[in-house]
Amino acid sequence: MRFIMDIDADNTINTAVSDSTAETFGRLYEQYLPKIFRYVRYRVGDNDTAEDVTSDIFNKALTGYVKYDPDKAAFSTWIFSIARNTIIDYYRRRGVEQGVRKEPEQDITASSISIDEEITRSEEIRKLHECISHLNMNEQELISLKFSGEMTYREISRITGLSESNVGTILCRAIRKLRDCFSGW
Amino acid sequence: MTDNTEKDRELLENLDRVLEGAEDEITGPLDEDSRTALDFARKMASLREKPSEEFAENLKAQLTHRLSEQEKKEGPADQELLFWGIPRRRLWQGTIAASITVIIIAIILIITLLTNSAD
Repeated sequence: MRFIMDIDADNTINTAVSDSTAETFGRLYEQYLPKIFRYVRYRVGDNDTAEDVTSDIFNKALTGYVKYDPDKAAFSTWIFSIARNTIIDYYRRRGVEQGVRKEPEQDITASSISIDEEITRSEEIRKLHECISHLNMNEQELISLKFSGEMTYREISRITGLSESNVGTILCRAIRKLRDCFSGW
Repeated sequence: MTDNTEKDRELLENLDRVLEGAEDEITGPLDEDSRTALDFARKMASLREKPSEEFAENLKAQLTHRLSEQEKKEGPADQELLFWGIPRRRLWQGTIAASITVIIIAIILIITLLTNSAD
């Protein structure tokens, strides 16, 4: 037994759990949180919803981790499949069409870079999300998987069920559409 | 059509290099369409966001807490009391140990008796 997923020294939630599950899951959490968050952020648009959905994904991953078999799928494929299904459920529950919602105003108060730069960046992110929302579902999905998870075309193919050549074709088309949308803003 | 496939393949390979930060490995020369598409991919990569530290720490704490609770629940179930307050697992292990001890004592006793009777 040892402490894992170290929380700050002053955090009282430090808890002892067994090495095998917790330590491994802790490492995977550190590695995949940024990727999963970015993926969700591309798909749902606003930050608060992205945080809620990301929490949901990691809670599901923790529940299912005991059944995860590395021989059947890479961890990235497994967790991105959970993420993908969670987003589908999220939109189904709300009864809205899947896609990126309009970006709300960004909170730009806490930042290490200048206010002007942060405003420009926020505006560009807003434009980008707006452009992504004009893509069809497959295009949104592939753009999110590629740019957030930096997945190979084979991994994307496994998650989406599309052939590798289809993944490539759709991704190229999506990038060109986004480029045209972004530059014509 | 072949041209487009070739252009796409080149764009995808270069996209991988952009995402890996291996800009110096980008192959060329690229035509206007591929160059602008790749420029946009670079822009998009630079706009990728990170989860806030506060969110990351809170979620980590929540998951750690859940893992700990899960272990607490699994602990007592694993050592379910059978009777006289002896956990099932310990009772089972104790029974085997006692049987082995009895067998060894019996063998020693038989050998001793046989040796004595032979004398």
